Amino acid sequence: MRARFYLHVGLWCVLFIIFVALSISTVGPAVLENKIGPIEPNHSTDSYLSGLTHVRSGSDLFVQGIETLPRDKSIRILVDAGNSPSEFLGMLVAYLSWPREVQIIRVSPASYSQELAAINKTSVSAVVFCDLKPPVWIKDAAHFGPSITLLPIESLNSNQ
Amino acid sequence: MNLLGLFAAYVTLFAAGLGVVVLLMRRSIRLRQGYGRQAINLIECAALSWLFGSAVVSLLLWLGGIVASGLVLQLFVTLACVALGFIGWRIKKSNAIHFSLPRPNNRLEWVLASLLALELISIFFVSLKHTLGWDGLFNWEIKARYAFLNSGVLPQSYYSSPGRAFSHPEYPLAIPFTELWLYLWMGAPHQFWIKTIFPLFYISGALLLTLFITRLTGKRWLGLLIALLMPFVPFFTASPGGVTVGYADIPLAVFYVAALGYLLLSSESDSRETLFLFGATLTFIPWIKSEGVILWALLALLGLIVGFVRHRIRPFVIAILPGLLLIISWRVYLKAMHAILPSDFAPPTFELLSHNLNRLGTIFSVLLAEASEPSHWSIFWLLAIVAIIYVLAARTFSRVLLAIGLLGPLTLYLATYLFSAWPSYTAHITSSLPRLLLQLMPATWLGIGLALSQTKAGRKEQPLG
Repeated sequence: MRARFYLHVGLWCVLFIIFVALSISTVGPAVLENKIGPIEPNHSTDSYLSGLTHVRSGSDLFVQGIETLPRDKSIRILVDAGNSPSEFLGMLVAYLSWPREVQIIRVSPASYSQELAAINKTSVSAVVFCDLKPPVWIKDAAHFGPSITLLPIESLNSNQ
Repeated sequence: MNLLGLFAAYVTLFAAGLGVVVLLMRRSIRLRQGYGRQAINLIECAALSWLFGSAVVSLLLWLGGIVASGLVLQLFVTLACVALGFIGWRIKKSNAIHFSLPRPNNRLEWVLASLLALELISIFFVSLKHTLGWDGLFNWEIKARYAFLNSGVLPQSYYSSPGRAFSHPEYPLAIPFTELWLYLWMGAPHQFWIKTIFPLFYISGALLLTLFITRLTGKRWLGLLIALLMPFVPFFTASPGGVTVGYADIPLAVFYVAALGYLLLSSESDSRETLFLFGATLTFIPWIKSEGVILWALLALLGLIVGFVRHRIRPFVIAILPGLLLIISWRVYLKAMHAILPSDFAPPTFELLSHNLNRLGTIFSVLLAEASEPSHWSIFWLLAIVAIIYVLAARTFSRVLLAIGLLGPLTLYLATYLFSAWPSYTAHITSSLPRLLLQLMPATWLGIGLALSQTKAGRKEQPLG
């Protein structure tokens, strides 16, 4: 009975020691990395926008740009299908564009002219390209860092 | 103003939670030996106050938002919180209820308790270092923000918008509306301060885990040790989905371990208190995240089994009814809002099941690969397997319940992938399985704690448990 007890204690001690020893190399650095803050209302979205577009305090700036668009028309967001940063940016743009209706369109960067041509210009106020190069004939686009291009629908009409 | 508002939001949340806890415990508060007065364990009360406070406030905001908005809605929920707190205080006064703070009994318990306190504080601050993760931002905070910008109510256009279907409008509102409550009091959305709610779920879970193990084994040092080890699971602390990124998986896991713990206590005693607490924690499981319906269904079934075996079927049926009502109400509401429903899973049919049975091999191989990934889990799942062998070897009713409570959800979760509608179901598994496993992690620690104690059966009641 006593041997069984020691076996029990020994088994769990060994298991816990291995568990903690293997964990500590992952958990330790994770606990120590980063620092608290900045204590900002857009703490997370600013951080993501800064990383992906190199624009600081980007959330407020982007919302200011979107505010110039009519609320009763929707925004088309073009993202590169299969490119995670592009798709993530598309969702960030959708997140910040509230209360405007949005539609995220996943396209192939090589051939999205069809999707662009299919956009109903009467119900759409702007097209946003996320980590996608806009067509070369586009001139009057607003750039938000190197990764986001906002194109008012009038510009799309005049250029096509 | 932000901090004052934040403080008021937390005070009202805890007041509501405290009221619910005292209401649930009032009829069967255990007599504390040596005092001759009725006592509520202060640690248990604080942990449950947070869980019930967040659940009740989010529920009130949702229901109140159907008929009111803006300041009226905020006033209504505040009054309800204050009323609950007041009722709790009156019950405490009229029944001479005393709050007791359990104190460590020996040097080992003091050391472990001090280390645990340090660890809980550290995790709280560590979780403030990170941004909200993908789900934290796009599934949860987004709802809080949009509701705040729309006078405290999520508009119908959000639920039915195809453009925002990526944010899962069908997900329940416990987490986002707890965040909304903070926003309403702070007067503005604030992605930093709402991160404070997530470590509170973890802290509540760790404290309850300690209490369950203490009560079920009679060894408090064991409960403290297990709670101390929990954050050493790398996925919990250092991966997307863990405690630091504002996901709902940890809150769901905490509600699950709470309901399972109280069910085990109910199975070992005739205490009405544990039965009420089982019913209350069970009710809110589907309100945290969609997968909660699976966990709720399993625990409801286990509750019915306990009721049947203990010849107390009626109270257990009553205990599961509020959760059932909540699930149905939420489905009806989504239907009324014309919510876009997810297309991740095909409707389960026998034909599809037989067609996809060949997925089983792949599903298990992905599970094996994930569970043995040391950078996610170390050897946690090996500990779990050893614990389950111990638990089954004990061959007692409550330990078999526990084994089902651990293996059942895993089996059901894996079975859902037979109906995955993703073009690549393996991609579906690899992207979601780690977080499903995380939801079972605290409950598995409970199993490990019970396995470590060689007590075969019988609740070892401790006055301070």
